[in-house]
Amino acid sequence: MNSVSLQEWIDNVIKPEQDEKYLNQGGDFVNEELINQALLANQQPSRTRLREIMAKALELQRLDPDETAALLNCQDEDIWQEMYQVGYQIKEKVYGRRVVTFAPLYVSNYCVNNCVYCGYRKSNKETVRHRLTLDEVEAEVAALVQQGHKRLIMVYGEHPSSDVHYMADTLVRAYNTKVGNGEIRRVNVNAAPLSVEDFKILKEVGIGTFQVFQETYHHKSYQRLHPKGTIKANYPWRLYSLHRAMEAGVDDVGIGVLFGLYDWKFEVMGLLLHTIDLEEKFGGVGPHTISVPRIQPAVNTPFTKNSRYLVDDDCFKKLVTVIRLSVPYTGLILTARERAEVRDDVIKVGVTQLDAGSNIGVGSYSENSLDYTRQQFILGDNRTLDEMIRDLAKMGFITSFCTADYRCGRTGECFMNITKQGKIHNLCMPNAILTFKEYLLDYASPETKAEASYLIEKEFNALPNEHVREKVKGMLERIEAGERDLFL
Amino acid sequence: MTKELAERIEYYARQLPVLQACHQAVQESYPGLGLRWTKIYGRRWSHVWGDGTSMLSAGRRVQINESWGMVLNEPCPIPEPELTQMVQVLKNYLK
Repeated sequence: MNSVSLQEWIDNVIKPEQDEKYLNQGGDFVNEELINQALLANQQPSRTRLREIMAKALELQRLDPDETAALLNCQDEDIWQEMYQVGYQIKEKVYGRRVVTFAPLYVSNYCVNNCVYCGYRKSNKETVRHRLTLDEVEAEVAALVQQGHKRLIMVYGEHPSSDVHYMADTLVRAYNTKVGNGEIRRVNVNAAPLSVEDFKILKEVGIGTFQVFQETYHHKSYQRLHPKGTIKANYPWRLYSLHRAMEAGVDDVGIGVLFGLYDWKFEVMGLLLHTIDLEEKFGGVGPHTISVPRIQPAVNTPFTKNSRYLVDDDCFKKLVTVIRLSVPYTGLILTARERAEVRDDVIKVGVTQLDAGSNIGVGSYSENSLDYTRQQFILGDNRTLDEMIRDLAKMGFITSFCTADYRCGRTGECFMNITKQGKIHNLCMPNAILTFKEYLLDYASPETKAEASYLIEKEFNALPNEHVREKVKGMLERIEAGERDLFL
Repeated sequence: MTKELAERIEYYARQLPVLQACHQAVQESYPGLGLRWTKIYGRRWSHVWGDGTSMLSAGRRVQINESWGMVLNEPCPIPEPELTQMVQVLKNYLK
Protein backbone atom coordinates (compact mmCIF):
# COMPACT_ATOMS: atom_id res chain seq x y z
CA MET A 1 0.00 0.00 0.00
CA ASN A 2 1.62 3.31 -1.01
CA SER A 3 1.52 6.37 1.23
CA VAL A 4 -1.26 8.16 -0.68
CA SER A 5 -3.64 5.24 -0.61
CA LEU A 6 -2.74 4.56 3.02
CA GLN A 7 -3.77 8.10 3.97
CA GLU A 8 -7.01 7.70 2.02
CA TRP A 9 -7.67 4.46 3.83
CA ILE A 10 -7.00 6.10 7.21
CA ASP A 11 -9.31 9.01 6.38
CA ASN A 12 -11.98 6.56 5.40
CA VAL A 13 -11.68 4.49 8.57
CA ILE A 14 -11.55 7.23 11.19
CA LYS A 15 -14.81 9.02 11.94
CA PRO A 16 -13.97 11.82 14.39
CA GLU A 17 -17.64 12.68 14.93
CA GLN A 18 -18.08 9.28 16.62
CA ASP A 19 -15.61 10.30 19.33
CA GLU A 20 -16.37 13.98 19.75
CA LYS A 21 -19.72 13.38 21.39
CA TYR A 22 -18.02 11.53 24.25
CA LEU A 23 -15.58 14.30 25.14
CA ASN A 24 -15.87 15.99 28.52
CA GLN A 25 -16.02 19.74 27.92
CA GLY A 26 -13.94 19.33 24.81
CA GLY A 27 -11.24 17.16 26.41
CA ASP A 28 -10.80 13.42 26.70
CA PHE A 29 -11.25 11.64 30.02
CA VAL A 30 -7.52 11.13 30.59
CA ASN A 31 -7.15 14.30 32.60
CA GLU A 32 -3.41 14.30 33.22
CA GLU A 33 -3.60 17.20 35.61
CA LEU A 34 -6.10 15.29 37.72
CA ILE A 35 -3.92 12.16 37.66
CA ASN A 36 -0.73 14.00 38.59
CA GLN A 37 -2.53 16.01 41.23
CA ALA A 38 -4.02 12.86 42.77
CA LEU A 39 -0.63 11.12 42.85
CA LEU A 40 0.94 14.23 44.38
CA ALA A 41 -1.79 14.90 46.94
CA ASN A 42 -1.84 11.33 48.21
CA GLN A 43 1.80 10.73 48.94
CA GLN A 44 2.70 8.95 52.18
CA PRO A 45 -0.84 7.83 53.06
CA SER A 46 -1.33 6.71 56.63
CA ARG A 47 -1.93 3.06 57.55
CA THR A 48 -5.38 4.01 58.81
CA ARG A 49 -6.34 5.58 55.52
CA LEU A 50 -4.99 2.67 53.49
CA ARG A 51 -6.94 0.21 55.62
CA GLU A 52 -10.12 2.26 55.15
CA ILE A 53 -9.60 2.12 51.40
CA MET A 54 -9.02 -1.63 51.57
CA ALA A 55 -12.26 -2.00 53.53
CA LYS A 56 -14.13 -0.08 50.83
CA ALA A 57 -12.68 -2.32 48.12
CA LEU A 58 -13.67 -5.38 50.10
CA GLU A 59 -17.25 -4.10 50.02
CA LEU A 60 -16.87 -4.28 46.22
CA GLN A 61 -17.08 -0.55 45.75
CA ARG A 62 -15.07 1.01 42.97
CA LEU A 63 -12.40 3.35 44.30
CA ASP A 64 -12.07 7.04 43.49
CA PRO A 65 -8.90 8.43 41.88
CA ASP A 66 -7.58 9.81 45.19
CA GLU A 67 -7.99 6.41 46.84
CA THR A 68 -6.25 4.55 44.03
CA ALA A 69 -3.45 7.13 44.11
CA ALA A 70 -3.03 6.54 47.84
CA LEU A 71 -2.68 2.78 47.30
CA LEU A 72 -0.17 3.32 44.51
CA ASN A 73 1.91 5.53 46.79
CA CYS A 74 2.05 3.06 49.67
CA GLN A 75 5.66 2.60 50.84
CA ASP A 76 4.88 0.24 53.70
CA GLU A 77 5.68 -3.37 52.81
CA ASP A 78 3.52 -4.70 55.65
CA ILE A 79 0.54 -2.87 54.21
CA TRP A 80 1.33 -4.25 50.76
CA GLN A 81 1.11 -7.73 52.26
CA GLU A 82 -2.33 -6.80 53.60
CA MET A 83 -3.33 -5.50 50.19
CA TYR A 84 -2.31 -8.80 48.57
CA GLN A 85 -4.56 -10.59 51.04
CA VAL A 86 -7.45 -8.24 50.32
CA GLY A 87 -6.96 -8.76 46.59
CA TYR A 88 -7.30 -12.49 47.13
CA GLN A 89 -10.35 -12.03 49.34
CA ILE A 90 -12.05 -9.85 46.72
CA LYS A 91 -11.43 -12.47 44.08
CA GLU A 92 -12.89 -15.16 46.33
CA LYS A 93 -15.89 -13.01 47.15
CA VAL A 94 -16.70 -12.06 43.56
CA TYR A 95 -15.42 -14.98 41.51
CA GLY A 96 -14.72 -17.83 43.91
CA ARG A 97 -11.71 -20.15 43.61
CA ARG A 98 -12.05 -20.51 39.87
CA VAL A 99 -9.91 -19.30 37.03
CA VAL A 100 -11.29 -18.93 33.53
CA THR A 101 -8.94 -20.22 30.87
CA PHE A 102 -8.65 -19.33 27.20
CA ALA A 103 -6.25 -19.45 24.27
CA PRO A 104 -5.05 -16.64 22.04
CA LEU A 105 -5.35 -17.22 18.31
CA TYR A 106 -3.32 -14.84 16.15
CA VAL A 107 -5.11 -14.66 12.83
CA SER A 108 -3.14 -12.10 10.83
CA ASN A 109 0.08 -10.22 11.50
CA TYR A 110 -0.01 -7.79 8.60
CA CYS A 111 0.05 -4.31 10.09
CA VAL A 112 0.06 -0.78 8.72
CA ASN A 113 1.38 0.70 11.97
CA ASN A 114 4.89 1.28 13.17
CA CYS A 115 4.67 1.12 16.97
CA VAL A 116 8.24 1.15 18.20
CA TYR A 117 7.68 -1.55 20.85
CA CYS A 118 5.91 -4.08 18.62
CA GLY A 119 7.37 -7.00 16.71
CA TYR A 120 4.57 -6.72 14.16
CA ARG A 121 5.42 -3.10 13.22
CA LYS A 122 5.45 -2.49 9.50
CA SER A 123 9.14 -1.65 9.35
CA ASN A 124 10.23 -4.87 11.05
CA LYS A 125 11.52 -6.86 8.10
CA GLU A 126 12.45 -9.84 10.26
CA THR A 127 8.81 -10.66 10.95
CA VAL A 128 7.32 -13.23 8.61
CA ARG A 129 3.82 -12.07 7.60
CA HIS A 130 0.84 -14.29 7.19
CA ARG A 131 -2.93 -13.99 7.13
CA LEU A 132 -4.81 -17.22 7.80
CA THR A 133 -7.20 -18.51 5.17
CA LEU A 134 -10.54 -19.75 6.46
CA ASP A 135 -9.34 -23.34 6.14
CA GLU A 136 -6.24 -22.46 8.14
CA VAL A 137 -8.44 -20.84 10.80
CA GLU A 138 -10.35 -24.09 11.02
CA ALA A 139 -7.12 -26.09 11.36
CA GLU A 140 -5.90 -23.78 14.13
CA VAL A 141 -9.20 -23.93 15.98
CA ALA A 142 -9.31 -27.72 15.63
CA ALA A 143 -5.85 -27.95 17.19
CA LEU A 144 -7.02 -25.82 20.12
CA VAL A 145 -10.25 -27.76 20.57
CA GLN A 146 -8.18 -30.94 20.76
CA GLN A 147 -6.28 -29.45 23.70
CA GLY A 148 -9.64 -28.93 25.44
CA HIS A 149 -10.09 -25.21 24.92
CA LYS A 150 -13.58 -23.72 24.82
CA ARG A 151 -12.74 -20.01 24.76
CA LEU A 152 -10.57 -18.07 22.33
CA ILE A 153 -9.34 -14.58 21.88
CA MET A 154 -8.72 -13.96 18.20
CA VAL A 155 -6.09 -11.33 17.47
CA TYR A 156 -5.76 -9.30 14.27
CA GLY A 157 -3.17 -6.81 13.08
CA GLU A 158 -4.45 -3.47 11.81
CA HIS A 159 -4.52 -3.76 8.04
CA PRO A 160 -7.03 -3.42 5.20
CA SER A 161 -6.66 -7.15 4.53
CA SER A 162 -7.95 -7.97 8.03
CA ASP A 163 -10.95 -5.65 8.03
CA VAL A 164 -14.21 -6.26 9.83
CA HIS A 165 -15.59 -8.55 7.11
CA TYR A 166 -12.53 -10.78 7.34
CA MET A 167 -12.87 -10.78 11.12
CA ALA A 168 -16.54 -11.76 10.88
CA ASP A 169 -15.79 -14.57 8.41
CA THR A 170 -13.03 -15.98 10.59
CA LEU A 171 -15.22 -15.79 13.70
CA VAL A 172 -18.00 -17.69 12.00
CA ARG A 173 -15.55 -20.36 10.87
CA ALA A 174 -14.15 -20.64 14.39
CA TYR A 175 -17.62 -21.08 15.88
CA ASN A 176 -18.53 -23.70 13.29
CA THR A 177 -15.46 -25.86 13.87
CA LYS A 178 -16.21 -29.04 15.82
CA VAL A 179 -13.94 -31.92 16.75
CA GLY A 180 -15.51 -34.88 18.56
CA ASN A 181 -17.14 -33.59 21.74
CA GLY A 182 -15.29 -30.32 21.46
CA GLU A 183 -15.99 -26.89 20.06
CA ILE A 184 -15.20 -23.28 20.79
CA ARG A 185 -18.09 -21.74 22.69
CA ARG A 186 -16.95 -18.16 23.11
CA VAL A 187 -14.74 -16.09 20.84
CA ASN A 188 -13.43 -12.79 22.13
CA VAL A 189 -11.60 -10.40 19.83
CA ASN A 190 -8.53 -8.22 20.24
CA ALA A 191 -8.22 -5.94 17.27
CA ALA A 192 -7.85 -2.38 16.08
CA PRO A 193 -10.50 0.24 16.83
CA LEU A 194 -13.60 0.03 14.66
CA SER A 195 -16.39 2.41 13.79
CA VAL A 196 -19.87 2.00 15.27
CA GLU A 197 -21.05 0.53 11.95
CA ASP A 198 -18.26 -2.06 11.91
CA PHE A 199 -18.84 -3.01 15.53
CA LYS A 200 -22.44 -3.78 14.61
CA ILE A 201 -21.19 -6.25 11.98
CA LEU A 202 -19.10 -8.06 14.59
CA LYS A 203 -21.96 -8.05 17.07
CA GLU A 204 -24.18 -9.84 14.55
CA VAL A 205 -21.85 -12.86 14.43
CA GLY A 206 -21.94 -13.24 18.21
CA ILE A 207 -18.61 -12.09 19.57
CA GLY A 208 -17.84 -12.37 23.25
CA THR A 209 -15.74 -9.49 24.53
CA PHE A 210 -14.05 -6.91 22.30
CA GLN A 211 -10.67 -5.77 23.59
CA VAL A 212 -8.72 -2.68 22.63
CA PHE A 213 -5.71 -1.75 24.73
CA GLN A 214 -4.72 1.90 24.82
CA GLU A 215 -1.04 0.85 25.17
CA THR A 216 -0.33 4.06 27.12
CA TYR A 217 -2.74 6.68 28.41
CA HIS A 218 0.02 9.30 28.55
CA HIS A 219 -0.61 11.61 25.60
CA LYS A 220 2.96 12.62 24.83
CA SER A 221 4.32 9.10 25.17
CA TYR A 222 1.52 7.85 22.95
CA GLN A 223 2.53 10.33 20.25
CA ARG A 224 6.19 9.39 20.59
CA LEU A 225 5.59 5.65 20.32
CA HIS A 226 3.03 5.75 17.50
CA PRO A 227 4.58 7.66 14.59
CA LYS A 228 2.69 10.35 12.73
CA GLY A 229 1.02 9.27 9.52
CA THR A 230 -0.08 5.91 10.93
CA ILE A 231 -3.68 5.22 11.86
CA LYS A 232 -2.67 4.30 15.38
CA ALA A 233 -1.24 7.77 15.92
CA ASN A 234 -4.81 8.97 16.39
CA TYR A 235 -5.10 8.84 20.20
CA PRO A 236 -8.84 9.63 20.56
CA TRP A 237 -9.85 7.14 17.88
CA ARG A 238 -8.27 4.42 20.01
CA LEU A 239 -9.30 5.89 23.37
CA TYR A 240 -12.99 5.94 22.50
CA SER A 241 -13.11 2.69 20.55
CA LEU A 242 -14.87 0.87 23.36
CA HIS A 243 -17.38 3.69 23.79
CA ARG A 244 -18.24 3.09 20.14
CA ALA A 245 -18.41 -0.65 20.75
CA MET A 246 -20.86 -0.11 23.60
CA GLU A 247 -22.87 2.29 21.48
CA ALA A 248 -23.08 -0.42 18.81
CA GLY A 249 -24.43 -2.87 21.38
CA VAL A 250 -21.24 -4.83 22.06
CA ASP A 251 -21.77 -4.67 25.77
CA ASP A 252 -18.76 -6.68 26.99
CA VAL A 253 -15.55 -4.76 26.38
CA GLY A 254 -12.00 -5.16 27.67
CA ILE A 255 -9.44 -2.45 28.41
CA GLY A 256 -5.72 -2.61 29.09
CA VAL A 257 -2.37 -0.89 28.75
CA LEU A 258 1.05 -2.18 27.86
CA PHE A 259 3.06 -1.73 31.05
CA GLY A 260 6.57 -0.54 30.33
CA LEU A 261 5.75 2.30 27.96
CA TYR A 262 5.25 4.94 30.65
CA ASP A 263 5.11 5.27 34.45
CA TRP A 264 3.05 2.39 35.81
CA LYS A 265 1.32 4.46 38.46
CA PHE A 266 0.06 6.87 35.81
CA GLU A 267 -1.18 3.97 33.70
CA VAL A 268 -3.14 2.42 36.58
CA MET A 269 -4.80 5.81 37.09
CA GLY A 270 -5.58 5.87 33.37
CA LEU A 271 -7.27 2.47 33.59
CA LEU A 272 -9.36 3.72 36.49
CA LEU A 273 -10.42 6.87 34.62
CA HIS A 274 -11.31 4.74 31.59
CA THR A 275 -13.49 2.55 33.81
CA ILE A 276 -15.16 5.57 35.38
CA ASP A 277 -15.88 7.21 32.03
CA LEU A 278 -17.45 4.05 30.59
CA GLU A 279 -19.54 3.63 33.74
CA GLU A 280 -20.69 7.25 33.62
CA LYS A 281 -21.65 7.13 29.97
CA PHE A 282 -23.19 3.67 29.80
CA GLY A 283 -25.44 3.39 32.84
CA GLY A 284 -22.91 1.94 35.25
CA VAL A 285 -21.49 -0.62 32.84
CA GLY A 286 -17.70 -0.44 32.77
CA PRO A 287 -15.21 -2.84 31.26
CA HIS A 288 -15.92 -6.56 31.44
CA THR A 289 -12.20 -7.21 31.83
CA ILE A 290 -8.96 -5.38 32.46
CA SER A 291 -5.75 -6.81 31.01
CA VAL A 292 -2.27 -6.15 32.34
CA PRO A 293 0.19 -6.99 29.54
CA ARG A 294 3.77 -6.09 30.39
CA ILE A 295 6.25 -5.40 27.61
CA GLN A 296 8.25 -8.47 26.57
CA PRO A 297 11.14 -9.02 24.17
CA ALA A 298 10.31 -9.23 20.48
CA VAL A 299 12.40 -10.09 17.43
CA ASN A 300 14.42 -7.12 16.16
CA THR A 301 12.72 -4.76 18.64
CA PRO A 302 15.36 -3.24 20.95
CA PHE A 303 12.88 -0.85 22.58
CA THR A 304 11.42 -3.78 24.50
CA LYS A 305 14.66 -4.03 26.47
CA ASN A 306 15.61 -0.36 26.56
CA SER A 307 12.47 1.42 27.69
CA ARG A 308 13.15 3.51 30.79
CA TYR A 309 9.74 2.54 32.17
CA LEU A 310 10.19 -1.24 32.33
CA VAL A 311 8.31 -2.64 35.33
CA ASP A 312 10.03 -5.12 37.63
CA ASP A 313 8.26 -8.15 39.09
CA ASP A 314 7.65 -6.54 42.47
CA CYS A 315 6.05 -3.42 41.01
CA PHE A 316 4.09 -5.59 38.59
CA LYS A 317 2.51 -7.52 41.46
CA LYS A 318 1.72 -4.23 43.18
CA LEU A 319 0.05 -2.68 40.17
CA VAL A 320 -2.11 -5.76 39.59
CA THR A 321 -3.12 -5.62 43.24
CA VAL A 322 -4.10 -1.95 43.04
CA ILE A 323 -6.19 -2.60 39.93
CA ARG A 324 -7.89 -5.51 41.74
CA LEU A 325 -8.77 -3.26 44.66
CA SER A 326 -9.72 -0.26 42.52
CA VAL A 327 -12.25 -2.08 40.34
CA PRO A 328 -13.18 -5.08 42.50
CA TYR A 329 -16.00 -6.44 40.34
CA THR A 330 -14.19 -6.54 36.98
CA GLY A 331 -12.43 -9.55 35.50
CA LEU A 332 -8.64 -9.37 35.51
CA ILE A 333 -6.58 -11.08 32.79
CA LEU A 334 -2.95 -12.14 33.18
CA THR A 335 -1.47 -13.65 30.05
CA ALA A 336 1.35 -16.04 29.23
CA ARG A 337 3.57 -13.08 28.40
CA GLU A 338 4.59 -13.52 32.03
CA ARG A 339 6.90 -16.26 33.28
CA ALA A 340 5.25 -19.18 35.04
CA GLU A 341 6.60 -18.22 38.46
CA VAL A 342 5.30 -14.66 38.07
CA ARG A 343 1.86 -15.90 37.05
CA ASP A 344 1.72 -18.41 39.90
CA ASP A 345 2.49 -15.61 42.33
CA VAL A 346 0.37 -12.81 40.86
CA ILE A 347 -2.71 -14.92 40.30
CA LYS A 348 -3.16 -14.96 44.06
CA VAL A 349 -3.78 -11.21 44.26
CA GLY A 350 -6.99 -11.46 42.30
CA VAL A 351 -6.52 -12.56 38.70
CA THR A 352 -9.61 -14.17 37.18
CA GLN A 353 -8.53 -15.23 33.69
CA LEU A 354 -5.41 -16.87 32.24
CA ASP A 355 -4.43 -18.18 28.86
CA ALA A 356 -2.70 -21.54 28.67
CA GLY A 357 -1.06 -23.72 26.06
CA SER A 358 -0.58 -20.52 24.11
CA ASN A 359 1.26 -20.20 20.84
CA ILE A 360 1.16 -16.75 19.31
CA GLY A 361 2.78 -17.44 15.94
CA VAL A 362 0.26 -17.05 13.13
CA GLY A 363 -0.61 -20.60 12.06
CA SER A 364 1.53 -22.27 14.71
CA TYR A 365 -1.02 -24.38 16.60
CA SER A 366 -1.79 -26.71 13.73
CA GLU A 367 1.90 -27.06 12.90
CA ASN A 368 2.81 -27.43 16.57
CA SER A 369 5.77 -25.15 15.87
CA LEU A 370 7.53 -22.38 17.75
CA ASP A 371 8.71 -19.61 15.45
CA TYR A 372 9.63 -16.25 16.98
CA THR A 373 9.61 -14.53 13.59
CA ARG A 374 5.86 -15.06 13.39
CA GLN A 375 5.23 -13.73 16.91
CA GLN A 376 4.44 -10.24 18.18
CA PHE A 377 6.61 -10.87 21.23
CA ILE A 378 8.14 -13.81 23.10
CA LEU A 379 6.01 -15.70 25.61
CA GLY A 380 7.19 -16.27 29.16
CA ASP A 381 4.95 -19.16 30.19
CA ASN A 382 4.98 -22.14 27.84
CA ARG A 383 3.02 -24.56 29.98
CA THR A 384 0.46 -26.67 28.15
CA LEU A 385 -3.18 -26.31 29.09
CA ASP A 386 -3.00 -29.64 30.88
CA GLU A 387 0.07 -28.59 32.90
CA MET A 388 -1.51 -25.25 33.74
CA ILE A 389 -4.67 -26.90 35.00
CA ARG A 390 -2.62 -29.26 37.14
CA ASP A 391 -0.59 -26.41 38.61
CA LEU A 392 -3.73 -24.39 39.33
CA ALA A 393 -5.25 -27.40 41.04
CA LYS A 394 -2.20 -27.68 43.29
CA MET A 395 -2.89 -24.08 44.33
CA GLY A 396 -6.54 -24.90 45.01
CA PHE A 397 -7.98 -23.22 41.90
CA ILE A 398 -10.51 -24.93 39.66
CA THR A 399 -10.18 -24.17 35.95
CA SER A 400 -13.37 -22.96 34.33
CA PHE A 401 -14.28 -23.22 30.67
CA CYS A 402 -17.66 -21.66 31.39
CA THR A 403 -19.22 -19.66 28.58
CA ALA A 404 -22.76 -19.60 29.96
CA ASP A 405 -23.07 -15.93 30.88
CA TYR A 406 -23.11 -14.53 27.40
CA ARG A 407 -25.34 -17.36 26.21
CA CYS A 408 -27.91 -16.66 28.94
CA GLY A 409 -28.25 -12.92 28.56
CA ARG A 410 -25.95 -12.20 31.48
CA THR A 411 -24.13 -9.46 29.56
CA GLY A 412 -23.54 -5.75 29.95
CA GLU A 413 -25.78 -4.17 32.56
CA CYS A 414 -27.18 -7.51 33.72
CA PHE A 415 -23.74 -9.07 34.22
CA MET A 416 -22.41 -5.97 35.93
CA ASN A 417 -25.37 -5.77 38.32
CA ILE A 418 -24.91 -9.35 39.44
CA THR A 419 -21.14 -9.02 39.70
CA LYS A 420 -21.27 -5.80 41.70
CA GLN A 421 -23.41 -7.63 44.24
CA GLY A 422 -20.73 -10.32 44.48
CA LYS A 423 -23.24 -12.93 43.30
CA ILE A 424 -21.86 -14.02 39.96
CA HIS A 425 -20.01 -17.01 41.39
CA ASN A 426 -23.35 -18.50 42.50
CA LEU A 427 -23.87 -19.16 38.82
CA CYS A 428 -20.33 -19.44 37.59
CA MET A 429 -18.99 -21.95 40.11
CA PRO A 430 -21.57 -24.60 39.13
CA ASN A 431 -20.67 -23.96 35.50
CA ALA A 432 -16.98 -24.21 36.34
CA ILE A 433 -17.59 -27.61 37.94
CA LEU A 434 -19.55 -28.83 34.91
CA THR A 435 -17.02 -27.65 32.32
CA PHE A 436 -14.11 -28.92 34.38
CA LYS A 437 -15.77 -32.33 34.53
CA GLU A 438 -15.97 -32.29 30.73
CA TYR A 439 -12.28 -31.45 30.51
CA LEU A 440 -11.28 -34.24 32.88
CA LEU A 441 -13.30 -36.79 30.92
CA ASP A 442 -12.30 -35.70 27.43
CA TYR A 443 -8.81 -34.22 27.53
CA ALA A 444 -6.96 -34.52 30.85
CA SER A 445 -3.77 -36.54 31.18
CA PRO A 446 -3.69 -39.29 33.83
CA GLU A 447 -1.47 -37.04 35.99
CA THR A 448 -3.92 -34.17 35.82
CA LYS A 449 -6.86 -36.44 36.54
CA ALA A 450 -5.03 -37.67 39.60
CA GLU A 451 -4.05 -34.20 40.82
CA ALA A 452 -7.15 -32.20 39.93
CA SER A 453 -10.22 -34.43 40.22
CA TYR A 454 -10.57 -33.63 43.93
CA LEU A 455 -11.74 -30.14 42.96
CA ILE A 456 -15.04 -31.43 41.57
CA GLU A 457 -16.09 -32.90 44.92
CA LYS A 458 -14.62 -30.05 46.93
CA GLU A 459 -16.35 -27.29 45.01
CA PHE A 460 -19.55 -29.28 44.65
CA ASN A 461 -19.79 -29.70 48.42
CA ALA A 462 -19.09 -25.98 48.88
CA LEU A 463 -22.03 -24.89 46.71
CA PRO A 464 -24.21 -22.90 49.11
CA ASN A 465 -27.62 -23.60 47.59
CA GLU A 466 -29.13 -27.06 48.00
CA HIS A 467 -31.38 -26.66 44.96
CA VAL A 468 -28.36 -25.76 42.80
CA ARG A 469 -26.41 -28.71 44.25
CA GLU A 470 -29.19 -31.08 43.26
CA LYS A 471 -29.28 -29.67 39.77
CA VAL A 472 -25.50 -29.86 39.34
CA LYS A 473 -25.48 -33.42 40.64
CA GLY A 474 -27.93 -34.44 37.93
CA MET A 475 -25.95 -32.63 35.27
CA LEU A 476 -22.68 -34.25 36.36
CA GLU A 477 -24.34 -37.64 35.95
CA ARG A 478 -25.51 -36.68 32.49
CA ILE A 479 -21.97 -35.55 31.54
CA GLU A 480 -20.62 -38.89 32.81
CA ALA A 481 -23.18 -40.54 30.53
CA GLY A 482 -21.88 -38.64 27.51
CA GLU A 483 -23.87 -35.38 27.30
CA ARG A 484 -21.91 -32.16 26.85
CA ASP A 485 -22.36 -28.40 27.14
CA LEU A 486 -24.72 -28.41 30.11
CA PHE A 487 -24.87 -25.14 32.00
CA LEU A 488 -26.90 -23.02 34.38
CA MET B 1 -54.71 -16.68 27.19
CA THR B 2 -53.39 -16.04 23.70
CA LYS B 3 -56.04 -13.43 22.89
CA GLU B 4 -55.70 -11.74 26.28
CA LEU B 5 -51.94 -11.48 26.01
CA ALA B 6 -52.15 -10.06 22.49
CA GLU B 7 -54.71 -7.49 23.62
CA ARG B 8 -52.52 -6.45 26.52
CA ILE B 9 -49.50 -6.05 24.26
CA GLU B 10 -51.57 -3.98 21.82
CA TYR B 11 -52.78 -1.81 24.68
CA TYR B 12 -49.31 -1.11 26.08
CA ALA B 13 -47.79 -0.69 22.64
CA ARG B 14 -49.81 2.51 22.29
CA GLN B 15 -47.69 4.04 25.06
CA LEU B 16 -44.46 2.05 25.09
CA PRO B 17 -41.89 0.61 22.69
CA VAL B 18 -42.96 -2.85 21.61
CA LEU B 19 -40.42 -4.73 23.73
CA GLN B 20 -41.48 -2.94 26.88
CA ALA B 21 -45.12 -3.51 25.93
CA CYS B 22 -44.42 -7.26 25.70
CA HIS B 23 -42.64 -7.14 29.06
CA GLN B 24 -45.50 -5.29 30.73
CA ALA B 25 -48.12 -7.60 29.25
CA VAL B 26 -46.33 -10.81 30.26
CA GLN B 27 -45.69 -9.51 33.77
CA GLU B 28 -49.34 -8.58 34.14
CA SER B 29 -50.34 -12.08 33.05
CA TYR B 30 -47.91 -13.67 35.54
CA PRO B 31 -47.40 -11.28 38.48
CA GLY B 32 -44.08 -11.75 40.22
CA LEU B 33 -42.48 -13.49 37.25
CA GLY B 34 -38.77 -12.64 36.95
CA LEU B 35 -38.20 -11.91 33.29
CA ARG B 36 -35.61 -10.33 31.02
CA TRP B 37 -35.23 -10.03 27.29
CA THR B 38 -32.26 -10.71 25.07
CA LYS B 39 -31.28 -10.16 21.47
CA ILE B 40 -29.67 -13.21 19.92
CA TYR B 41 -26.49 -12.81 17.89
CA GLY B 42 -25.12 -16.21 16.99
CA ARG B 43 -24.28 -17.82 20.32
CA ARG B 44 -24.58 -14.58 22.17
CA TRP B 45 -27.77 -13.72 24.04
CA SER B 46 -27.31 -10.06 24.78
CA HIS B 47 -29.27 -8.51 27.63
CA VAL B 48 -31.51 -5.68 26.43
CA TRP B 49 -34.39 -5.24 28.85
CA GLY B 50 -35.72 -6.44 32.19
CA ASP B 51 -34.51 -6.56 35.71
CA GLY B 52 -31.02 -7.97 35.69
CA THR B 53 -30.47 -7.08 39.34
CA SER B 54 -32.70 -9.67 40.93
CA MET B 55 -31.96 -12.44 38.42
CA LEU B 56 -29.56 -14.29 40.60
CA SER B 57 -30.72 -17.75 39.67
CA ALA B 58 -29.68 -19.30 36.40
CA GLY B 59 -33.03 -18.83 34.72
CA ARG B 60 -34.63 -20.67 31.86
CA ARG B 61 -33.77 -19.62 28.33
CA VAL B 62 -36.71 -19.45 25.94
CA GLN B 63 -36.02 -18.69 22.30
CA ILE B 64 -38.79 -16.69 20.65
CA ASN B 65 -37.34 -16.57 17.15
CA GLU B 66 -33.93 -16.20 15.51
CA SER B 67 -33.44 -12.71 16.92
CA TRP B 68 -35.15 -12.67 20.30
CA GLY B 69 -35.02 -14.67 23.49
CA MET B 70 -36.23 -14.33 27.04
CA VAL B 71 -34.90 -15.63 30.32
CA LEU B 72 -37.41 -16.60 33.00
CA ASN B 73 -36.64 -16.89 36.67
CA GLU B 74 -36.75 -20.43 37.99
CA PRO B 75 -38.83 -22.15 39.10
CA CYS B 76 -40.89 -21.03 36.12
CA PRO B 77 -44.57 -20.69 37.10
CA ILE B 78 -45.87 -20.91 33.54
CA PRO B 79 -47.20 -24.30 32.48
CA GLU B 80 -45.49 -25.65 29.37
CA PRO B 81 -48.50 -25.40 27.00
CA GLU B 82 -49.08 -21.78 28.03
CA LEU B 83 -45.41 -21.00 27.49
CA THR B 84 -45.61 -22.38 23.97
CA GLN B 85 -48.67 -20.26 23.27
CA MET B 86 -46.98 -17.21 24.74
CA VAL B 87 -44.01 -17.64 22.43
CA GLN B 88 -46.35 -17.86 19.44
CA VAL B 89 -47.95 -14.55 20.42
CA LEU B 90 -44.63 -12.83 21.08
CA LYS B 91 -43.34 -13.90 17.66
CA ASN B 92 -45.93 -11.59 16.11
CA TYR B 93 -44.47 -8.57 17.86
CA LEU B 94 -40.74 -9.23 18.10
CA LYS B 95 -39.26 -9.58 14.65
